[in-house]
Amino acid sequence: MIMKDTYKTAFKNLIILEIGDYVSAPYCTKLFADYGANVIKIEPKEGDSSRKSAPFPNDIPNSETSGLYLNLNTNKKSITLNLDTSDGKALFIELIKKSDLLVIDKPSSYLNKIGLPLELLNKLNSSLIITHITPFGNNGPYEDYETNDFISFALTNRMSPHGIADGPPLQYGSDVILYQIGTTAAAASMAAIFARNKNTKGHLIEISGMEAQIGNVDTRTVFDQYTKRLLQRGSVDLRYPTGCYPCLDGYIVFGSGEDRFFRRLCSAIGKEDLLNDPNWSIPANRESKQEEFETYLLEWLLVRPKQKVFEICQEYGVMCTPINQIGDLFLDPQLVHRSYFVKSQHELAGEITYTGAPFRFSKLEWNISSTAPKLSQHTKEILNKFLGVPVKDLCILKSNGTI
Amino acid sequence: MNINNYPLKNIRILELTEVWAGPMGNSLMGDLGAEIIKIESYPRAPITRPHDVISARRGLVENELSQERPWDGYASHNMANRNKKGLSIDLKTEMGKKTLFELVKCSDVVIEGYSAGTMENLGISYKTLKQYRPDLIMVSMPGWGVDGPYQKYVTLGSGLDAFTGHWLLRTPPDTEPTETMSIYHTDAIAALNLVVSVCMALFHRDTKGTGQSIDLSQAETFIPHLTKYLMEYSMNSKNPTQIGNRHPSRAPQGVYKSKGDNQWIAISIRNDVDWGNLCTLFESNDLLNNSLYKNALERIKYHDEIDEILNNWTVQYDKFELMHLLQKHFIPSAAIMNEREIVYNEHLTSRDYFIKIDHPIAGEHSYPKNIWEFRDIQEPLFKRANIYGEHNEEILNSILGINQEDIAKMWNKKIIGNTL
Repeated sequence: MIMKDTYKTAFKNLIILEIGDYVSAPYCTKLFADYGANVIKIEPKEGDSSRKSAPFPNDIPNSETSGLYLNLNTNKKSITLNLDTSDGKALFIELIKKSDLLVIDKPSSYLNKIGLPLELLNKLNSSLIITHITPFGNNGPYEDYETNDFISFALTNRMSPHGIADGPPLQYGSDVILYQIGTTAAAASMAAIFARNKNTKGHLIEISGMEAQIGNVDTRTVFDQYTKRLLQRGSVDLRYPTGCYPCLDGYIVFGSGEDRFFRRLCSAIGKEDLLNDPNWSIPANRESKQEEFETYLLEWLLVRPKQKVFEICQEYGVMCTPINQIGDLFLDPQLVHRSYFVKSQHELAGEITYTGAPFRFSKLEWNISSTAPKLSQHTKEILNKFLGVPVKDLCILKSNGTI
Repeated sequence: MNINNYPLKNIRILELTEVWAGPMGNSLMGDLGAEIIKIESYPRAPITRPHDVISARRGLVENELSQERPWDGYASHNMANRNKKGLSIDLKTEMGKKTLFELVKCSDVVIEGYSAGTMENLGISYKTLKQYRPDLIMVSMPGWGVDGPYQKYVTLGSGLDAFTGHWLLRTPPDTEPTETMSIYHTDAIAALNLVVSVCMALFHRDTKGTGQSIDLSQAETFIPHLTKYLMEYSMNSKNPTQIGNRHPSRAPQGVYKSKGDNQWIAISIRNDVDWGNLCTLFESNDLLNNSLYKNALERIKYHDEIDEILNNWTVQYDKFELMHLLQKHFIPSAAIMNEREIVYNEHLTSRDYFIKIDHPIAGEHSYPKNIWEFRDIQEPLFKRANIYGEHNEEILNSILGINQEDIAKMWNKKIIGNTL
């Protein structure tokens, strides 16, 4: 039951409301739920759209067994609430009054239309923190643009320099951007939760998905301004060897051939004698000799499996990594050693392997103490026990389409 | 400026990190109002502070001043280090270490980004530092975490992209992974997770009164972002197929040519409604009204054909003109912009998203502002990246109260420095 001291964490008294769909907002609140906060997921009656998204066990669609939904909604409680009805709005306002953080991804135009603008919610509970996630922010010419993960990525400067040389701009793995936006929301929200401990006033935070991407470090927005040279698809501007090379059973990636790493690599592949020659030992001199060096390198790589190449290179301090398939991660020695993945039994989906803690505290517990909720699983519990709505009224709310 | 509204006001953080993930995460906490003291390696050059022009030629601003001080004119450093004070100090010396201990006494958080063991070897591990500040919060953020077989391994974000499987996801069909370029997305993700974890630990300290250590594996912060692929493997033992710009369950989706050289527009049809809207723009074209393309499954089957029709149409339009037209018809679409165009983008300009900042060595450039907007904070903090050694005196004198004479000794003995 909610509010009960079940978690040994600092978060056990936090109440977080999520009105969010698919990945961004749900991933944001998952970060809190998995460390012990109480997250109430408010779903429309058809449920979060991630419930309809693959994968499903044995490819059989079922709104309670989507792998995406199950991993993104661990440790949460689900209620359904129709915000278009006046009873639904009234219940929502009661929840707002008792909550610490609201994470919401609905456009301002919709919230105004149903009579629940964020400013009003802020007035109803001045200590409430509101984190509002939208694709393009709450004003400007693109505010109401239609989008999804693909378009939100394309409508930045990130897709333009990404791709194969001479090929078209290319997306990252699909959805990946949405997690970045959700994590951005979590960072701002958590800072506000900490601050509220001191001055009791909640913040209203706007997250623009576009700016969350453009303002972060990997987007390299200022490089061209510094060098008058646009980033080019297929090239990364670092010394060789950089990027992907084949080996016996797959591929590996080198971080960069900056001097100290180049020297270490020569040792790792038994070519330290090269460094006695100024044509190799002086970085500027070796620039024109990439092809020759790669002949030596490939000779060494092509007779060794990727994991072996990885281990040998790293013993010498070379930034080298294998290219893994997704499935390789479950057997990776490091992730296995750290027990990163976590198995948990789900009533309908069976035993599933979940992703583990994104970071580990010495004094704050991360765990999956309950699997993702079924649609509306906790409506009665939250309304009756948390808000004090009498059981007889619940029947009325159900029949008039509020819950 | 009124600092009262900033959530991390009065928090002091010591940063010992290099390259992007740690520096960016600390900049973000600087945005939130924390005082960030960046301890920079001296006399060994930090990785993003090249000591000579030759090793800096990629990313070095083109002007005279940066020929003198290349380490201060480097894009890689300057974009990831706003809102900080810098102390460049040799931590291998006893005096350097002692100075660090004094700083730890009056700091809330220490963040280090070296591979496991480096801090221990320097004699500045959590166990040691905790003695100077019992409620210290300390984050270690190596590539793969603080224990296990890879604890000492080194990497850039590109390596973690490969390790986690994302490299292969980014490799289009019928293409060798050797063609795929390095990206550094995990740096952005680790930076964000650093902020979440530090704020959680600060909250914990305020409610329970204790500090703690945080083990942040940069690989593990990114792995959950691949949920649907991992769950597909977990549930059905299937690895993802390479799909380029396409999507497994909606079509068409892709990047299409628009008018001009190397100009592109992205279009994604989410469902039959979007498709219907697109077809109304194609009144004269029988092919798009072809009944064979009525549902997503069919459209996935005929994706190549549809792409050809679309390309012949999109190439006639300017990318912005076409985006405006498509969006007017509620069709998800994006004019693909490079980093030169984005600075002048109509939407971002209307939101004042870029801010012009002057830097004594690099000159004036437009930088993106905060990745979030707090309504109560009118003016986001944006103090340009620190010059190497810029705040040595200020930190040693104003914070630690070391007198000028002793500071001069530290300069002379090369315990602190401001050139490389």
